[in-house]
Amino acid sequence: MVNFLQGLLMPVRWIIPAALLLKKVLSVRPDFRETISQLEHFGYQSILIVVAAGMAVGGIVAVHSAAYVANYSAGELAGWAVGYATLREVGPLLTGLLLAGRVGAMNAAELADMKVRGQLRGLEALGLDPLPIVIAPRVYAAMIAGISLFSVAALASLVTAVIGVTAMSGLKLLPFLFSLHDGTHLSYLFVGQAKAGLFALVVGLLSTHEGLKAQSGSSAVGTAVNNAAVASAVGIVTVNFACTWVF
Amino acid sequence: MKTLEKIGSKPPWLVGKGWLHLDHLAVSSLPLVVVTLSLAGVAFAREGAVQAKQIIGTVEVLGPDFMRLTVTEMGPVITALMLTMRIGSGIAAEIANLTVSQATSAYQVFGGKPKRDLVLPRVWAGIVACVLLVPIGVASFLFAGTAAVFFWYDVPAEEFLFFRYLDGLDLACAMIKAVAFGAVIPFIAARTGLAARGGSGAVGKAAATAVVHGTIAVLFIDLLVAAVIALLRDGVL
Repeated sequence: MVNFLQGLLMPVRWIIPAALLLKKVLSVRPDFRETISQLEHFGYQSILIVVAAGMAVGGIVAVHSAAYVANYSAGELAGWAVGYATLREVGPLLTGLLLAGRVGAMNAAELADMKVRGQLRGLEALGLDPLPIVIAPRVYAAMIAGISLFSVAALASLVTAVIGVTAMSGLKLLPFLFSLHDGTHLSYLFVGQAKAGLFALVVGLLSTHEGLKAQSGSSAVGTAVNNAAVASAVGIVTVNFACTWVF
Repeated sequence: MKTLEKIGSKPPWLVGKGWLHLDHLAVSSLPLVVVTLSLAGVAFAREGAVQAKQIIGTVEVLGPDFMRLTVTEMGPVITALMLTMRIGSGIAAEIANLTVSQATSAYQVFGGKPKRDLVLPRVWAGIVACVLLVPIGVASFLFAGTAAVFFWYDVPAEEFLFFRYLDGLDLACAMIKAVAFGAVIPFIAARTGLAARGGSGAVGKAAATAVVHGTIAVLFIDLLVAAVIALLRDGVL
C-alpha cells in the first residue's frame, strides 16, 4: 500500500531534480562540437525509427477517422479530425513516448555507463568540468532532436493518414485535402511543436538525471535506463496534462 | 521468429513459472498505469470537450466516442507503452546483465536452456499482467476523463458515459490488443537482453533498444488490430 501511494506521487518526485538540473545546465555554455555530435547521435540516427512510428500513428488515426466518416457521414469534418489528432493531440503524445525510449533511454544508458566506468570522475581529475562538455550538450541536443524529430513524425503521420482515409473511406483526395486545409489551424502545428519541445526538454533532463545517479556495476546501468524510461514517460504524460491548461 | 521457434515449439511451456514474475510485472506497474492513464484521460477529455463545444456546441455528444476510443485505442495503447517503458527496459536490463556476466553461459553448461527458461515465463507473466492492467488503465482513463468533463462543463456521468454504445467487437479489440502487447513486450525485451554482448554499456544499450523496439511493435500491432476490427465491422472479413 505504501509503495502504491509512493507510486502515485511519481510526477512530483522528479520535478525538483529536473528543475535543479535545468538551472545548472542554463548556467553554463555547452560545448558546441559535443552538442552537434550528440545531435547527430540522437536526431539523425533516429529518423528512420521516428518515420516508422509516425506512419503507424497516421495509420491508427486513419482507421478511426474513416470509421467516423462512415458512421456519421461526416466527410467535411474528416480533414479537421486528421489534422487535429496527428498534429496536436495523439501524434505528439505517442511520438513523445517513442522519443522517451529512443532519446531518453539511450542518453541514460550512455551517461550511466560513463559514470560506472569512472569516466566522469576522470574528467574531473583532469580539471575539466563534465557539466559544459558532457551533460549540458546532451540536454540541449535531446531537446533540439526532439523538436526536429516531431516535425518528421508529424509529416509522416499526416501523409499516411491522408492516404489511409482516402483509401478506406472513399473520399476523393482533392476535396479531402481542402477539408484538411480548412479544418487544420496553424495553431495546431505550433501547439504540437511547443508540446514536442517541452516533452523533449523533460526527456533530456530526466534521463540525464537518472543516468548520473548510477552507482556501480552493469546492473546499475540497466536500472538507470529503466528509471529514465519510466521517468520520461511519466514526465511526458504530466506535461501533456499541464498543456491542457496552457494551450 | 527463429528464437520463438526454438523456445516455444516444444513443452514444457513453463506457464507455472510465469507467476513468479507476475508481482514484478503487474503489481509494481499498477501505480504507473493508474497515474499516467488518469492524467492522459483528463487531458484527452478536456481537449475533446473544448473542440466539441466549439464545433458542435455541446459536450454530451462526445461521450460515446470518448468511451469507444478509450476502450479500443487510448487505454490499451498508453497502458502498453507504459509497460514497455517499465517492464520492457527492466526485463532487457535484467537478462542482459545475466548474459554479459556469463551467467546464462554457466546455466547452459549445467543443462539449462536460457532462451526457453528466461523468455517463456516472462512472456506468460507479461500476458497476464497486460490482461489485468489494460482494464484498470481503461477504467482510470474513463473515470478521470468523466470527472474532468463534470468538473469543467457540469456534465454528469450518466449523460456522458453510455455503455450501451460499446459492443462485443470493441471489448474483443481491447482484449486482443492486451494479449498481443503482453506477449510481445517481454518477448522483444528478453530477446534483446539475450543478444547483449560486452560490458555495462551493452546492458544499457539492450535496455534502450528494448524500449524502442517494444514501442514500435506496440504501435504497429495496434494499427493491425484496429484495421482488422474495422474490416470485421464493415463485413469485409
